[in-house]
Amino acid sequence: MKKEIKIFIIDGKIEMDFEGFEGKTCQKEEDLFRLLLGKMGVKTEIKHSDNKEEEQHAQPELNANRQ
Amino acid sequence: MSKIVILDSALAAPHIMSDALARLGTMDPATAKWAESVDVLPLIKEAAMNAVKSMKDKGVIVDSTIEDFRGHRVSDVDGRSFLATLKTDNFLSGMALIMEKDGTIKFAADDYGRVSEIRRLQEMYKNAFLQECIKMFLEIMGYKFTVTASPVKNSGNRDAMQGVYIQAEK
Repeated sequence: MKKEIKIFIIDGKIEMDFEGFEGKTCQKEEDLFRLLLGKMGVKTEIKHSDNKEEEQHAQPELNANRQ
Repeated sequence: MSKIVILDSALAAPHIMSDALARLGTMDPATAKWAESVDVLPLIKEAAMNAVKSMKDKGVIVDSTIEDFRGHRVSDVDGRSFLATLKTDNFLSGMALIMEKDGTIKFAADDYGRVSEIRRLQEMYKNAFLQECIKMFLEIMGYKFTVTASPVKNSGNRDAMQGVYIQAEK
C-alpha cells in the first residue's frame, strides 16, 4: 500500500498529514519526523487523515501520549 | 537609535522531543538510537545555505555584509560571522543570518525604520529553511516527492505569503 505524506508550509509553520500508514507505522514515522525536525530547530504540527483518526480511536494508549 | 542587533525573531533552538524519542525507542530502538545520534549541525548549515539559494532564486539579493542606518558596514555582530546576508531593492542595508554554536539560526540587522521589510524577509527565510529541512529528511527516509506553490491560506494576515505544498510517497 502506498504511503503518503502531505506537507503544507506557510507562515513559518508546518502541517503534515500522514495517509496509508497501517497501525503503529504511522506513529513511528511521525515520531521519527518530529524527532529529526526538532533536532534541526523546527517545530511541527501533525494533522492526521480520517483513517488515521479511526485507527487512533482503536488504540487510545497512543492518543494519551500526544502533545 | 540606529544599531545592528540580534533580532528577537529567530528560529527555535535545536532540541530533543522527548515524547517522540520515547515512543520511537519502544517501537524501533535501532532507529531511535540512530535519530538521537545524528549530528545535525552540518545538516542545519546545509539547509540554511540551501534556503539562501532558494531566496536568491526568488530575487532576493545575497551578500556578505549589512549596514546600519548611518551606512556603517559590518560583516559580523559581536564576533559572530554571517552565513550570508539578505537584501532587497527596497532594503539594501540588509539582514544577516547567524548560526550559533548549538545550531540556532538567528537574524541580525539595524531594524530602525525597516521593521516591516525585515519581518517579510524573516518569514520568507523561515519558510525556505523549513522546506529545505523537510526535503532533506524526506530524501534520507526514502520518499519521492514533488514541491509546488500553494495558494495563500486565509490566515487573517494581510502580509501572508504564498505557501509551499510537498507531496511525498514511498
